Amino acid sequence: MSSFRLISIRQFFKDISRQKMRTLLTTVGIFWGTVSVVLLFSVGKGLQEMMVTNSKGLGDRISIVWPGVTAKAWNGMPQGRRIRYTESDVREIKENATETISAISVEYRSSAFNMKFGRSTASASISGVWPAFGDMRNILPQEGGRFLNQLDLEKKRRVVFLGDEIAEKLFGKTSEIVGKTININKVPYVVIGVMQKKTQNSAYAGRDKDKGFIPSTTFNSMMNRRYPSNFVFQAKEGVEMASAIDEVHRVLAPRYGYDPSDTKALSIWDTTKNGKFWVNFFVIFRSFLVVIGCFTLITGGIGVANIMHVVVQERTKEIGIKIALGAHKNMILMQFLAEGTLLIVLGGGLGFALSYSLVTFLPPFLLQTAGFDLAEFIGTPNIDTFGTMLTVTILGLTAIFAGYFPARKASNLQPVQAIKLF
Amino acid sequence: MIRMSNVSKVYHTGSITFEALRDVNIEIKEREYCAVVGPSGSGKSTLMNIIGCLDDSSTGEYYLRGQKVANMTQNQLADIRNKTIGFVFQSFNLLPYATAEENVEVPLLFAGQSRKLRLERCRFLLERVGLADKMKNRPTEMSGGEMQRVAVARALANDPPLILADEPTGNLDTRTGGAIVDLFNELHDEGRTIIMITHDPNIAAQLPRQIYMQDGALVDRLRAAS
Ligand SMILES: Nc1ncnc2c1ncn2[C@@H]1O[C@H](COP(=O)(O)OP(=O)(O)OP(=O)(O)O)[C@@H](O)[C@H]1O
Ligand SMILES: [Mg+2]
Repeated sequence: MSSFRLISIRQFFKDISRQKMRTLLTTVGIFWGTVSVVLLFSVGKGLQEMMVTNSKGLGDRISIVWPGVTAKAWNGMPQGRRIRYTESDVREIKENATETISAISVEYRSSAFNMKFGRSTASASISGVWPAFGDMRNILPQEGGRFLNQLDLEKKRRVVFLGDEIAEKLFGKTSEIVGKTININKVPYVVIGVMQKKTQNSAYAGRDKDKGFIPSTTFNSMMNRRYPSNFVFQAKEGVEMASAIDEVHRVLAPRYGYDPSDTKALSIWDTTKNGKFWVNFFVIFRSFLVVIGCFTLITGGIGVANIMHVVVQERTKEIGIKIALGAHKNMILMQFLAEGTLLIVLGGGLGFALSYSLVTFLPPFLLQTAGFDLAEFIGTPNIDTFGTMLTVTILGLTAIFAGYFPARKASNLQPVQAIKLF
Repeated sequence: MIRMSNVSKVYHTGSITFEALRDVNIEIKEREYCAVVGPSGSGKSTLMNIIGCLDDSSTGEYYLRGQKVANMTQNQLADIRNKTIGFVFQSFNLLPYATAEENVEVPLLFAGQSRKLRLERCRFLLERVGLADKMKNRPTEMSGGEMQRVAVARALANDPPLILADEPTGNLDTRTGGAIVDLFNELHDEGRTIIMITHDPNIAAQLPRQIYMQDGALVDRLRAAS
C-alpha cells in the first residue's frame, strides 16, 4: 500500500505550498503553545530546585537550640527562670537520645577574631564545634582538605577549617591553602580544609562562607567559656523533628527542673519548618503554573482546531471528488491524520528545539557576555519532560481531532453531496 | 449492465420536499450507447449520479452488473467507482491545485498502480484527448474545453467498462464537441457501455438509443416546446 503513503506525503507538501498561510498558522500555534508551556514549566522547575538546594544550605533535618526562659511554673519554682546548658549536657543528649537524633554538636561562637596570613588580614567569627557539625550543617571540604575530626578535638589541636570566602580573602585565588599556617589572634593555626561553595538562604550569626571552625576544646582553652552559644542536632531520617525535640527536653528537664512540655524553656529553631514552607509554596506555585499553562494550551488548541476545521471545510469538495474517483474512506482519513501529525512534529519539534536551546544556552550566554548570573535569581531552568510531552500531546491531539472528525464527516457523505457543498 | 426498478429520489430543503426522480424503471444492456435527453431540471444528473454510485436513491432498487448496489459496502462502492465506472462531471470537478497529468493520475493512485505505469497511462490518455502539450497545466491555466478533455481522460484512467458523461459537450463549440463525440464513438467501438447526457438534439439523434426525461420521470417522447 505504498501508494497510499505516497499520495499522503505528496498531498501534504502540495498543501503546504498551496496554503502557506494556514500551514504557517497551525504550525505557529503548536510551536508557540509548546514554547510558552515548556519555558514556563522549566523556569518553575529551576526555581523549585534552587529553593530546595538553598534551603539545604544551612543543613538537612536540623534544629538549633539556644538557652531559653521557662514559661511555666514547675515543682514550686516560678516561671521566668533562665535555662542554660553545658557541654556535658549536650554529651548527655548525644548518649541518651539515640532513638531520634543522628548527630549533635555544641557550638561556641565569638566574632571579630583577627586572622592573618602573610600580609593579608581579615576579621571573622569563629565557631568551636564537634566533628559532627560539618556534615550536619552541609559544611563540606573542598578536595584535598577535611573537616575537624575526633583527634583534633581530643588533642585540642590548633587547626582551623575555613569558609570559602574568608579563605579567599586571606589567600587570594589559590588552591594551595590546606597545610598553611595562619594566625588567629596571634596564635598559629594550621588550615585543614576549605569549605565547598554552597548557596545558603538562611543563617544565624552570619554565613558559613565567612567563618572559621575550630575544635570546641581548642576554642575553650582559648576563651574559657562555661556555656556553649548553642547546639545543633540532626533528626534521624524518617523521624519527626517534634519527637527529637521532645527527647531533648526529656533529657534536660530533670537536670534543670523545668516542665518537659515547656516549649519556651529552650529557644529552638526547627529548620525543617522552612522546608515545609517551601513545599507548600511550590504546591501553590506549580498549580498556578499549571493553570497558566492550561490557558495557554486552550488558546493554542482553539486556534489550531479552528484552522484545521476551516481546512476540512475548504477540502470537503476535494474529499468528495476523491471518493467519487474511488478513494477508500481510510485513505482520506489517513491523509488528514498524516497531515495533522506532520504539523505537530513540525510545530512541536521546533517549539521544543527553541525552548531547549533557550534553557540550555541562554544562561551561560548571559553570564559570559553580560556577566549576568540568571541562576542567582531564577535558578537553572530545567526542561520538564512530562510537561513538554503533555503539551505536545494535547496540542497534537487537538490538531488531529479537529482535522479528523470533520474529514470523517465529509467522507461519510455521498460524494455528490460533498462535492456540491462548497 | 444496469437495471433500476421504481427508483425515486426525494430532496428535502427545509420543510419543502422535492421529488427529483419519480418511479424510474430502466434497463441498459452491456455495450449499449445511450443519450439522456430532457429539459434542465428534469433529473438527468440526479439519475446519472445514482447510476454512477455517487448518490443513493430514496426508494427503489438498483442493480449494477447483477449486484444490488444498496447492499454493497463503502469500500466495494469505492472500487466500483474506481475501476468499473468512468464518470465525466457536468462541472468537471478537477482538483484545482493539480496539473492535468496529476488529475488523471488520481484514480490510478487509488488503484495502487506503480509510478511507471501511472505516468505511461497519463501520457497515453492525455495524448488521446489531444492534450499532450498541456500535461503540466493546472485547471486555471486551461480553457473549458481542455478541462473537459482532462475530465474525459481521467474517467478513462482505469479503463472502465462503463462510461457516464454528464453533458461532455455542453461547454464546447460544435467542432470540439464533435471531436469529443468521435472519441466516445471510439470508446463504444472498443466495447464500452456509454451513457451520455446531452442537450444537443443532433448528437442525441446520432446515438443508437435515446432516454427521455421530464419532471423526474422517464417518458417515451418529449412534449413539444418546453
Ligand atoms: N441537493 C439537492 N437538494 C434539493 N434539490 C435538488 C438537489 N439536487 C438537485 N435538486 C433538484 O433536482 C432537480 C433535478 O436536478 P438535476 O441536476 O438532476 O437536473 P438536470 O436534469 O441535470 O438539469 P441540467 O440539465 O440543468 O443539468 C432540480 O430541480 C434541482 O433543483
Ligand atoms: Mg445536470
